[in-house]
Amino acid sequence: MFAGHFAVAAAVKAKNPQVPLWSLMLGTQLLDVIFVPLFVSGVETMETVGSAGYGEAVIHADYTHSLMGALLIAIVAGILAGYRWGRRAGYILASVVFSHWILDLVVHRRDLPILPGNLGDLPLLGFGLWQWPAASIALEVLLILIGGSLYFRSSLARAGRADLNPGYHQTKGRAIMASCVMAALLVLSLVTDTLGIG
Amino acid sequence: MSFILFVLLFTVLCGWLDARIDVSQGKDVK
Repeated sequence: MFAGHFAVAAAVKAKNPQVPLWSLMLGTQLLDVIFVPLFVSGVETMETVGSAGYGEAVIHADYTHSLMGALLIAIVAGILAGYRWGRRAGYILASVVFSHWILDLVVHRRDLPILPGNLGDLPLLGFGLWQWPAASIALEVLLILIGGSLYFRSSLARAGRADLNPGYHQTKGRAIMASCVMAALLVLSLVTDTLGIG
Repeated sequence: MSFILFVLLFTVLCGWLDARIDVSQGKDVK
């Protein structure tokens, strides 16, 4: 699921307009962004199951997607954000980064370790919603609808009122443009993920 | 591949478009 993660960032931005959207978008995918070089170098691996379609994978991301590893990454990201944009933004960004692990916990098969490197061979976590693709896709659609609509409403609200903002029409136009591009990318990312494109 | 593309698009394109909303109101964008 990557559309679902982006949708969370859109929803958080709607409620916290002071935090830059780019940081939330990057933050919500940070675990997977760090996963990419580790995957390329063979430190973390992935094996497909079934026909290798939507969600048909067991991901051995034992460092980036371990509970403690994800918490550590979230805390570091939160500290950096807090240093740049203030303490509240730091808490928000740390939460957004960790939200990735929470959503993955819901959809992943039992492949999420508790400690980095699966230290201690503790039980692996994952509720496995990916085993029911229709339910998993429905969850992503729901997240997109909530995140997209909250972002659209908050963007328009940021344009202010026509009688108070001299540049109201320009601001409103930009808010609509930003919302439309956001909605299109959310839908496109879900479609490509669902069809296994890329 | 599509993952990297979407991270870039959301981070750069959406981030830039969103920041323009505040710029048009004369607000400081960090």
